[in-house]
This record gives sequence, C-alpha cells and structure tokens, in this order.
Amino acid sequence: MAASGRLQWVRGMSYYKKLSRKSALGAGLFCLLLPAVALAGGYLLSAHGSTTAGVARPAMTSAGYGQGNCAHCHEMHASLGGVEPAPAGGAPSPYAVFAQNFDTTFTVNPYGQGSDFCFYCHNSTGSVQQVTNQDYSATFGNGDSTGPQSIMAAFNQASYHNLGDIKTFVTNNSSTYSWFSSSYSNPCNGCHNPHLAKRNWYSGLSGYPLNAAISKPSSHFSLWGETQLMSAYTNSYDAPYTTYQSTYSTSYREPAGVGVANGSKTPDYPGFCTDCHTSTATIYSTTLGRNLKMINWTSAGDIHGGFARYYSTISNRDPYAHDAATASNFVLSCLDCHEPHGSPNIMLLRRRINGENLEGNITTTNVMGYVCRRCHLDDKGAAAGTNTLNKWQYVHHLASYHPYTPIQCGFCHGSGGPTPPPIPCGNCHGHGMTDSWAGSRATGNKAF
Amino acid sequence: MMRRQAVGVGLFLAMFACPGICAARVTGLCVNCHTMHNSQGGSPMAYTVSSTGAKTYGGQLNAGLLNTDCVGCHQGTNFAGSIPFVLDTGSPNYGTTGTEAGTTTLAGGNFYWVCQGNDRAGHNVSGITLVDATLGVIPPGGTAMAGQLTCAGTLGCHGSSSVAMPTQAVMGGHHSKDMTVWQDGTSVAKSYRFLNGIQGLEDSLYELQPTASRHNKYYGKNRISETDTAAGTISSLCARCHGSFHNGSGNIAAGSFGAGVWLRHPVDFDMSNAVSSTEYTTYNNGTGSANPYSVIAPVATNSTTAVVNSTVDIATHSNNAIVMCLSCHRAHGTPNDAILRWNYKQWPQAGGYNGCAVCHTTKN
Repeated sequence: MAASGRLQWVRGMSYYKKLSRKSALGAGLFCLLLPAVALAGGYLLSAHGSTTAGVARPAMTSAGYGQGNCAHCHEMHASLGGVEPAPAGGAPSPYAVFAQNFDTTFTVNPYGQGSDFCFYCHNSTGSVQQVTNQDYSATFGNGDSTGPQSIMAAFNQASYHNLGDIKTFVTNNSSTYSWFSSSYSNPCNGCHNPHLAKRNWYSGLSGYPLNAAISKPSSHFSLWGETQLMSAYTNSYDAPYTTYQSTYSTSYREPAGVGVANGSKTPDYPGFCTDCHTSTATIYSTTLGRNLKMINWTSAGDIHGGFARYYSTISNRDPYAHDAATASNFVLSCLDCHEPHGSPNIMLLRRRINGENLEGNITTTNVMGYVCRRCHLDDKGAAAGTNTLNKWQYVHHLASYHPYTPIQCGFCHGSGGPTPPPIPCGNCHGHGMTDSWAGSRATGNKAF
Repeated sequence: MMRRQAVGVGLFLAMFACPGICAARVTGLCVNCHTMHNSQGGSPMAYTVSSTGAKTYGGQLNAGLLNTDCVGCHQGTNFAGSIPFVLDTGSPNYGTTGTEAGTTTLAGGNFYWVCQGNDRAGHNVSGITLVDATLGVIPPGGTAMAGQLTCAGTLGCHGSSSVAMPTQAVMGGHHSKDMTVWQDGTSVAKSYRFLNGIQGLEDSLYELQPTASRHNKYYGKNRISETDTAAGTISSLCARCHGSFHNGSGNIAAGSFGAGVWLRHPVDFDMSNAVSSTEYTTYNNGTGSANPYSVIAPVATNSTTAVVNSTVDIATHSNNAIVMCLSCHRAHGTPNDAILRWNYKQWPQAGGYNGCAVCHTTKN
C-alpha cells in the first residue's frame, strides 16, 4: 500500500517534468547571458596571476591550488583543512595575506622576509617562492649578473628606497593616497599594485618591453608606463645605450637593447617618480637623517629635466653628442641614472649607465663623476686638460663653452699650486642646485 | 462513466499523493511519510536508505512514526517540483557553478561528492558519510562538537538546536511550512529551510536552476562590529560551528570593522560600504545601480519582504549587497573542495572558475 502510494506520487510528477523541460530551456537561454567572469583581465595578465610564472606557495600548491591562484597569497579564513597553512603566523593577517604585511620596526635595512610580506618570495633565499629579479642596470641596461638577484637583495645595498619612509610619506599624504592604510598597507604597494604589476622584464610577454610593473601611488588601481612614455617629451628624450657604441647607432638602446631612441619604448619614469618626489614635497630619509632634495623636472627645474639647455652642443658622449644637433633639449628619465630599489652606490645611482659599468663605487658626491662621465666628457674622455679619468678641468675651463675662466684658481680651488685640487662635485651638482657655491665667480646657472 | 469516475478519482488521489511541497506545507496521504504500526501484512514498513540507495527494512523504527529518516526521504535525483533531494546515488549534474541549465543540484548542493570520499567536498553528516578523516569533529573556525554532525538537532543545522533527536528537532515543520511568505525565524516551521531562527524567503524550486528573479532570498546584516553575531542571518547559522570565520574580536577585521582592513573574508557586511576598493560597483557586470543579482555568487539582503530581489544596488548602499557564507559556499556539498560553489582551487589553470570575480571585478 505504502509502496504503491510512493509510486503514484512519483508518477504524479509528470506535469513537473514538463515544467522542468521549460525551465531547462529558460535556464539555457539564461546561461547564454551568464557574465563572462572567466575572461582574462588585469590580474591574469599580471606577474602574480600568470598561469606559468605566477604565485605558487608550496603549502597551497601541494593542496592542489593552481599557480596564480589568490590563495597563494591570501587566506580567506586563515585555515586550510582546519589549520593555518605554512608559513603559519598563528593568527590571520591584515588583507588576509599569509603573513604580516610590513614590520615597522625595520626603519632601515637590512630587510628579511619577516620584515616585508613581499620578501617571502622576492628574495633569493625566501621560504615561500624564490623569485629572481635583477636590478635595472642588468635587466634593462644589459649589465652583468654581479648585482642583486632579488628585490630584497637590491634593498639591502648601500642605498635604497627606505620602505619605512615610503610608508610614512604615503601615510602622511593620505588625502592623495587614500587607498593606503596607514597601519596595514605594504610600502611596496606605494609603487606597485600586486594585482596588476606585470613581468616587465620578460621578453616573451606580449607587449614587451612596455609591460608595466608600476602604478602611481596617486593612481594605484591602474598601471603606469605602458602608454605614458618618454617619447612624450617631444624631441627631448634620447634613450641611453645598453652597450656603448663608439660609432653612433640608433640601436642598442634601453630598455634592454630593444628601446627606441626617442623613448617610445621607455616608460615615463619622471612622470611616475614625481608623484611623490615633487618640487614641494618634504620627504624625510631615515637612512640619510635629512629631508631628500626636492625634484623639479619641469621647464622651471633642472637642466637634466625640462629646463632649456644653456648650450646646443656640449661635451657629451654618444648618443647625446650625436643627437644634440637635432634634439630641442634633453630630458632624462630618472632610471637613466637611478635604480628604483637599491644600489651599491649612494643615492641609488646605477652601477651601469649608458652602456658601460661605472669604474668605481660612488661612496660620496666627491666621486660622483664616475656617473657623469658615462654621458659627459671628462678630461680622459676629451683627451684634454689633465687627461685623467674623472677629472673635469676640460668642461669647466677649456671647452669652447666653458663657464669659468681659469684665473685666480685659488678662489675656488684653494691652495694647491699649479695643479689645484678638484672641487667636490657635490658643491654644485645635484638636483635643484646652481653654482652659487662659487660666490662671485658663480654664473648663476643651474648646475644639474 | 465508471471509467471517467475512475480517472477522476485517480487524478484526485494523485494530487494528494503528491506532497504539495512546492509552495507550502506537506500535503497528501499520511502513509506517504508515516507508518502507524510499522507493519503491512506482517512485514516491516520502516526503512533506512544507504548512501548508495539501498533500502533496509526493519532495521529500526523511525521516530515520529516515519517511514524513514531525513536521508531516506531526501535522497534522489532532483527535477522541478520534486522533493528537495540532497543526496543523489548517482553523480548529479553540477555544471560549472550548479546553476546552469540541466543541473540537478539545489541551493545546498548535494552530499554525493562527500559520499565518494572527498571529505572537503561536503559536510560529513551522520547517516550520509563518515566523520571527516582530517578534521574529526572539530569544525574549522570552531571548537570540538560532541559528536558527528547530524541533519538536525543539537548537532545539526536544521530544526531546534535544543533537541538532540533530528526528527524531533524538526517536528511540526513540514506540516506548517508556508514557503510563500517571509520566514521570520520565530519557529522551526517559520524558519528558512527549518534552520531554526534563521530568516529568509524560500524559492519554491529550492534553487534548481535558479535565475536572477527566481532564487532564495537570503537574510543578511550589514554589521558595523565584528562582535555582532547577526542573529537570524544565514551566515550566523554557519557561525554556530565556524564562529571565528564570522565574528569575534580580532577574528575578522584589523582596526575598525568596515573601515579598516580585513583579517578574514568578511560576511554579514554590505560590500557597497567597502572603503578600500570600488571594484564592487560592477558586481555581476553591473554599473552600481540595479546590478543583476548573481546566482553564481549570491548576496544577502536585510529586506524582509516576500518579494524576490532581482537586482543589487551598490551605489545607494541599500543593504542588499551583503556578503554571506553562501556567496562562495554551499551548505551540503559540491564537487569542489571547501564546498565552494565553483572550482576556485584550480583557477586560473584550465578547469578552474573564478566566481570570485563576480564581486572582485578587477581580479579576473
């Protein structure tokens, strides 16, 4: 009786089966309109979201999570199978990442992986995923591999972008950088959006070399440098060599030898860096114990920036010497001279510039000429004056456009007889400086 | 004449033999569910059903004079209008997200996969499968239970939590249910899916192949404090066992709840109030106003009307974009680890699916 009742009950569903068919048709049409949530977007195009090179935390990989999956960095509940996956910190972390984002007790380097979440991977000895990243000099300047092999290693050099200071600066300017959490954000995010940043160095990636890894802090949710290019400084940018050419060439240009002389393959780094390093922003450096120099890269600022050059030809080396005749001015990219993360030299100065390594470390501004002579003719390069490496008598006193008539040497050089001691470069040359140090002998010209 | 009468009687009986569960309380012949003496011609009527569908008669008497238990009645393959089957003996059609045409699972998913040995693919309910081999009886985010999870009762999700016996815990519910009205949680029968105390509006087809305009209406709360237990919300039910994933000081937010940053993925929080990102504005490919409701990654609302919400408003902060546990998970089981609605684990590799991008629209 009961069994037959149950059978009858099931048979009584025929109407619903018809309804089911109609529902299926309707649902089928509905499915055609399903949102295309699986389409490739910003994250999938990023370095971290790459299916072949993206994030891969061993604890999650072994649990079956696909490379590039969010779970390699984020833990939705700080739990996997009832326990916190390695590296376990014993508690959930802000932004649901697997470890503390930044340890503010690290006011100066050296950094370790526990100081910054990113360094669990961007670290040659990282415990999660060891990611190799070389410095700008090697990656885009064709330098050798003797430099740092990871981002953390780059930060652990003589000069570096102090992470704690970045955090402080961005925090103190919260009206401009409102997305940044004063307590919990990672200072690396000041320049990078980890969900967007691409492998800018990887030549196999479509769009190379204009795959941006950076986002302006004032525009954190978009990439910078794919369409914002140095070529926008019309007739004013000249991409440096990656390998110096004794005979002028339009090839062998940065970045990575695939650059174009006019900068159409070079991100607009001044536009990026001056998001923070403005002509008015006060940025304190814990490392230096003073405020950083303000940067004015406009036509009212530095000569190496947009300020009109004093001379149409000057004692440059190629490619600038050759291109000076056709360029209306020279506006440099910040990364023509500086590393973004850190350097063995002071002031994050690159170890290789314009296709050649520096001959010596820059430990003080007195020997900064090692940098300058990559693009300007020192006495050795000019085969004039003292004819000595990193001596600068020629450009100051002998060249046709020399700014200082060589009389009364001691006024500037002090006593020293017929071969007066050189003047420390830093007396006059640096961002925002003039030759006012020279007193009555000063030209009043900008000197950088 | 006799034949017509017979047909008429047959149809009449068929109507009552089919429990009218689609829109309201159970109707039909008592014998469909009950046995008075557990005897028919001397044979036992009470039976249990194994996870493979095998019936065993006479093994036990079922409480409430029932022919069988929860699993025995709710085991089968779903089609529109059927009893809500939560355990299929064959592989259900889950599709990619359990919502597509042809799929045969309901809002809660199906226990089929956990029965196949993947403990991470479903709740390990007594009578359906064994205790979780990894977790035992300690739910993630919670403390050890007194025993294995049951369908209902003290150790279960449905019915009164103050009654140990599952059948007794849901007693009266099936006879008093009215699915056409808002479930205010004031009794087991008036609770969303007999989840005692939980509010909501129940889709008459239990979300079999749901659409933006036909789906369960989940109750949620836009909390302003992580210590708020959000009584009555669907997520608060989950928190009975997985508490640390829902509420508690220092469990969910660093800094001010909603204005700081999250420690764990928030629930019972309206994503339109998120301060760190505007990506939720384009929830489910919308523009911020009247975004289409997503049945792939559904959201809860604080509306307590019997009107189904087919749109979600981000721009106006209307408390209808409330993230809940069920935005990502199903309650019974899915083919996916962590009982996720989609194969998140494999994404972005082939075979994976990024349902997260319904809300996290820039993370695709």
